[in-house]
Amino acid sequence: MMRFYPGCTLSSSARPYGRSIFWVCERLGIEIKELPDWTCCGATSAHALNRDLAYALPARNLAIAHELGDDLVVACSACYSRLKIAQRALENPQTRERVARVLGRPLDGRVQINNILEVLGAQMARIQKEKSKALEGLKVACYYGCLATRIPRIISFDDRENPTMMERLVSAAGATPIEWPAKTSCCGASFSVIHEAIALKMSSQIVEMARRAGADVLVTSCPFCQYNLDWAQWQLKQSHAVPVLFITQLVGLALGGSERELMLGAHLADLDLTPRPPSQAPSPLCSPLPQRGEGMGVRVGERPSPCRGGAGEG
Amino acid sequence: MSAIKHGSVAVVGGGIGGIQAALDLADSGFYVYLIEEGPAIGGRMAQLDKTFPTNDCAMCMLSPKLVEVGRHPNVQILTLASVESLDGQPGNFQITIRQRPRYVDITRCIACGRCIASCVYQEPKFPSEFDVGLGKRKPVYIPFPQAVPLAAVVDPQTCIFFKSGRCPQNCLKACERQALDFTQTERIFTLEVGAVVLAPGFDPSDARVVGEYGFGRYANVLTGPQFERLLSASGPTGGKVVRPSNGQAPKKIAFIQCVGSRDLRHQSYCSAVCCMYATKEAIVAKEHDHQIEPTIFYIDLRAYGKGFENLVKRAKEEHGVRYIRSMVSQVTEIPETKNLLIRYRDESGALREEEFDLVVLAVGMRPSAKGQELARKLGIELNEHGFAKTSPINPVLSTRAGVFVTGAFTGPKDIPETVIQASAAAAAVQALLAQARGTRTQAKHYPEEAVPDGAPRIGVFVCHCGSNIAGVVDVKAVAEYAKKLPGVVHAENVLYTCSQDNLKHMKEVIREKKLNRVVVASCTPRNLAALFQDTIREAGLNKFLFEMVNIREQCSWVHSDQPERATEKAKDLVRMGVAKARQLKPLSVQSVKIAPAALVIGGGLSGMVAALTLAENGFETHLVERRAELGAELQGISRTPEGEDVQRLRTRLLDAVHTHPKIRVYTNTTVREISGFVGNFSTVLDGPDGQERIQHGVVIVATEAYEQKPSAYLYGEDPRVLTQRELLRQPLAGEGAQSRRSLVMIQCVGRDEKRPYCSRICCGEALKNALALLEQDPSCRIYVLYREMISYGFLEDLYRQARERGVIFIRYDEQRPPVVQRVNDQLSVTVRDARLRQEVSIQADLVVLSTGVVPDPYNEELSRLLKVPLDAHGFFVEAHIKLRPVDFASSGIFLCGGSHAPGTISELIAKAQAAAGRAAIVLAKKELEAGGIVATVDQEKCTACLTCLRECPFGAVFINAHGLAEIEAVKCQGCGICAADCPAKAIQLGQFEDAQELSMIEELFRERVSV
Amino acid sequence: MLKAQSLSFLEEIEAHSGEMVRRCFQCDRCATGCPMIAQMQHAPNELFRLIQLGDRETVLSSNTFWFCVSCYTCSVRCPNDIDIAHVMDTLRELSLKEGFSPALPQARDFHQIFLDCVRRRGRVSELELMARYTLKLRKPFARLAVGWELLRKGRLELWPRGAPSVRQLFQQAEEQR
Repeated sequence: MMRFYPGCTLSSSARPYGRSIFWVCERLGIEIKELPDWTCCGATSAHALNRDLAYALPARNLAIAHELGDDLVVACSACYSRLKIAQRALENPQTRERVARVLGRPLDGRVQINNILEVLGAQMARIQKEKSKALEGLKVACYYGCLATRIPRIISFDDRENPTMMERLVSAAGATPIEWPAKTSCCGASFSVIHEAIALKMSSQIVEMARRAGADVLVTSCPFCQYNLDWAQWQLKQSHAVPVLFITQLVGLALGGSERELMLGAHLADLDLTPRPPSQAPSPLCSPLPQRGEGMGVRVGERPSPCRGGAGEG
Repeated sequence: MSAIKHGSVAVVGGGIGGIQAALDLADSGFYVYLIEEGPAIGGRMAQLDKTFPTNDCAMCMLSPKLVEVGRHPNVQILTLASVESLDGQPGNFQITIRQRPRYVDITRCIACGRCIASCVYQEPKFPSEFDVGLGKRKPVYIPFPQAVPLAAVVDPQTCIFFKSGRCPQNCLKACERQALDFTQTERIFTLEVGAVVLAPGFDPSDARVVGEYGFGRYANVLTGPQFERLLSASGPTGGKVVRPSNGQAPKKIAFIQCVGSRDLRHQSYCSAVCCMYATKEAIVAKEHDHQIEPTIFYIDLRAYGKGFENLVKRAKEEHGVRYIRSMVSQVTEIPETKNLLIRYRDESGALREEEFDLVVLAVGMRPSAKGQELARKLGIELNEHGFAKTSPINPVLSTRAGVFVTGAFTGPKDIPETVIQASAAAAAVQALLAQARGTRTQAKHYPEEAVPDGAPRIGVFVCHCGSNIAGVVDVKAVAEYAKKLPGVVHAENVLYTCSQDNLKHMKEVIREKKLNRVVVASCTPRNLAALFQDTIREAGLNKFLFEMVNIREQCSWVHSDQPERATEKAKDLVRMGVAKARQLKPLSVQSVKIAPAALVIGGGLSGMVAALTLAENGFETHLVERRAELGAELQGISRTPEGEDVQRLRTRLLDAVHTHPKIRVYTNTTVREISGFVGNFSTVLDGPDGQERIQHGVVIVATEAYEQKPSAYLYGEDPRVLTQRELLRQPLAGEGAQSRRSLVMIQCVGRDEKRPYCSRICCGEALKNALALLEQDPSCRIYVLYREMISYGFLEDLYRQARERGVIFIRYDEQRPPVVQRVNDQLSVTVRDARLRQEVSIQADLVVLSTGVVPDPYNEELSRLLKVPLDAHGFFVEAHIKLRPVDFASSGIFLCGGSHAPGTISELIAKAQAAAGRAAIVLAKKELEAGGIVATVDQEKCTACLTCLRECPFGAVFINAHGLAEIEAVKCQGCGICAADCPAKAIQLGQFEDAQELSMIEELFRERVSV
Repeated sequence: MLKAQSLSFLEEIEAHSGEMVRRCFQCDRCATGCPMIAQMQHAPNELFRLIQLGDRETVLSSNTFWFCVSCYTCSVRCPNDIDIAHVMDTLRELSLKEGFSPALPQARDFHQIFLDCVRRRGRVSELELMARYTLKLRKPFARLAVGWELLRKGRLELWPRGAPSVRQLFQQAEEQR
């Protein structure tokens, strides 16, 4: 049995994720229970403003898990990354002492922290065996986002620059994962709130790459990533949107879950899971880079020459 | 140390380092076992297309050495062999070798390729190691076309017969020589050797671990070694540069430097060669295809060696290679085209994104995995980076006595440094085993040479070469044709002329039919001419009464689709060969005795080390220094960059040199004149007690280079502006000590058109001095203003330490050097930080200038006396910058020291040892052969126009007492330039005389064969 | 003209962040890999050079760390093993502490409101967060459309469940500053 740390979004904007995680785990016989008395890990805001909060907030949850003697499983990339970073920081005795003072209690952060992808990955064979033909022919671009595998000084559960855990899950689930270059690019995260224009550009570029690589569907393991890629397409009123699913929604579909159970109706942009015919023309090659000062009036650099080659010169 | 000294040596590793060491040792009287892991010697250099900085063809440089090693009577090549263990002591080792089976008998295999063609694998399927995974091979293969030994090999890992036991074994049946032997087994045996030299080389860094560049994921991302194979004519595309994704020619190629190097995530040191090899590859790619546009992304451009800067300049100016100082974070593949997107920043700091057709990752060097295993087995220590541990003042000695290490095994380095270390290791071995010299070498004994008389009696042997020749050319007809040619008394066709039985047969025929000329029509003379010459010599004929006609590479192999015309051509070629044979004369080879002593000119660090090395080898050495004391230039230096105590080294060297019975030291002495030739020089020395004449066999030029005196930055006007050397001589504290709260070091001072070269050592010295200062006073602030940080190899560690100790490094552009001013008696340095694009001003207590080195001005005099060349900057010019770095082109004269090129103390020591070792090879011979294929001047025809004298690259021509040109046979290398250019046609080259060559041409046109 | 100062600013940043900012040798990988570099007045390595030269004013008033999105790309690519994103956190914290006004005030507002939500409830209620944030920006009707969509599709928790209090924790952290 593992303790599940949901993080603040899983009951709210990422409810489809939360739902589908529990559905898939039950289906595959993975026993998970919510970590009792969990509180927010601090996400970006804590480390952005306050070093002590940045360690103390996740450390509090680590302490609970440690006391229970259970392993943790985390789905949200930000929560996962903050918990891992805090754990690493606590190895330094001075830091541990400082954080213990903030928490007002002695502290032990030694807990096994698993990413949901590792946990699902352990069930690869079973997924392979029990999958239906629901996903046959579907071309899937797997999007990890920047945090899941790229945590400084911590050995990742997958290849840092070219993780393949999701691809293997997608394959086991009967769909076809595709090779594409933006799988660990940043979606813009909280900038979709703070500075929409930037996040729109970052997220839509990622979606565009997936589309050009021939994806029917994008799949991700991070709530913010799902939100940003989904919202960007909705905001830009993208025709022929590339649906952005959570990995557990896709795997759930293959294992017989219903649309309702997996909350597939909750996407912002239109959801259309039929494989696209290969003749669909890809969009223009590369959008010109934003130059310094765009939107900030600070300094304007030279526009680079537009990219050459490939189909549909812009 | 054992009393027993075996006169044999094990050299482990068949790359350029191992080959050089093997040749030096074999030539100086030792028997060498050259132990190579793979199926052929050649190493990484064989995989290169060209070598920097000359962009010479790598194989053209390497192949003659491969052949020389292959046929050297004192070298035994053991391929597919590795070392299991080493017992014993220096002088008396037992080395156990495990040799894997080749499944091919190399004494029978002639590399015809039929086994490969007939293999059950119709197409090559397995990644070729030689082509770095780009090309494919079959389980049976020939490593590369110029491999030595040139024979096939079967890989049991991929061969179906070995994997499953069931295979029709077409190869066995196809081989006409019965050379395949699947019953071979592994052998384990022990050899007695006196010393071991380890040269296992390096492994390229693994580009897959630098995942952000997409190697292994993106089709059009290659490594430098792979790109080298693409450029090579012997590579998988025959030298065409193509994109792996679609086979099309790329236009824009990006080189990304420092992949896996200078990186705490991977290897922290600098791999020392990548900046130059990328430059070379960029130029060569452009030469292959003019439309290619190379761009190199780098951090610092390390062009520190001789000729390096020049190559970079040519790359920029003549070939339009773009150098962009902005390191790439990641490579992104464009899905539709498989082109690659790269982001970088230009000089204005603006972000740019460009699309490239191909990306080449300049991967660095890792310590050889096999080498590390070897170290483990032999009990040798490795340093913190995993390379063989050596002492900086003894750079080729491992931590185990009697075991020497050399080349990239000791740290990243280029080919010249490797060759130097190899010769240095050989020199050290020679010294260790001096008393055993000549005890294990084979000397051949020949019968007396018969003096040929009467008309030519020519024997012609036409080779089938299995079906290589006979499959296309009607060899019977050619032999029949030969019978009718004037002068021919015997002609036959033979299945394999090179086989043992035929060689025996040839000797019998020579005796029976009293042949006095022999013509063999078979394969390339490069292969076997020496073998046949040796054979006829064994039969009592002068070895120059032999002519080889190539009807394989130059006939059957290239005209395989036109057998009739090929046969006619073969007849033409044989007729021409016979015509020349009629004109052949015996050539004599004399032995010239050698004066077994050496003259070392220059008593600095290099001169002393060279003298000691020679003396330890047992040779009398005259060490001449024009100043009052030896090692003067070492004064004031306390440590090497690696931390060795220089004054202790100097004292030890001085003691050793002054007390060694074989060394005579002359101080306050200059060389007045040198005459003679290799083996027999006669020199007049001018000393405080008058003149003295000495006889010696070799000369080593060991003059050093000196810190240049600057004339900028207020030097000379303000006592607070010093050079690095002067900084070292400053008192540390107390009376006279300068305040040094804030120090600014300025690199690359005094570089201009007159002195454009990088002096190689200044950045290392600055780092060393900065760290030493901080050691004494951790509170002082040091700024280093530089153009490129030349901290190559393990010096990178020093660079990082300096930064970690708080030294601030600011880069300035060449066009905008810093300015030093005095404002209210405060020194102020202003520099434009090239990264910030902003002026920065620094208050300085001391300004320290790195001014570079200039060669000893005495070199001009020496150049005149010895008739050896100087380059435009006053450094001596060696015979070949890559493969003969310590030899002059003129035989018997060697060089080392800073006047060859600047170097660190460690590098200079290796160079001096190498020069001494090379010189020792000459002295060890006791006699030199002179003659054979040499040129001679007809004194009747010579007009003393001096053309030959000016043109001879080896300084072999001199003006004799009659005022006419004469060629010193001992120095002549038989290149033929003088013969070709003499306007009076007064010079003939033996074996290639005008009459001989013209007879071939006339013969061809006399009887035009109708087709 | 920038005058080179003592290393005390550098030492301060290094002590606070635990990172060896001095190791930077200006390779430019952080700059070329940063998704936000186009918005930044100074590339991260340029900021590091300014820190090394002691230019406190320019560094702490730069917009660089305000545009940093903490994707850690720079940190995992740095050959000198500097966690650059973490140094950005340090600079941001110091900058606010010393009273420099943020280049992106909405970022500061967002993060402060987020943390306040955590302080009050232990967990973040997205509804509360967005409501308070848009109010602070004085754009109460921004995001209504997307908010409605989310609500409609069941992706907005109206009544978040209670969680243990972390007020004590926040107080301690505040005192420790």
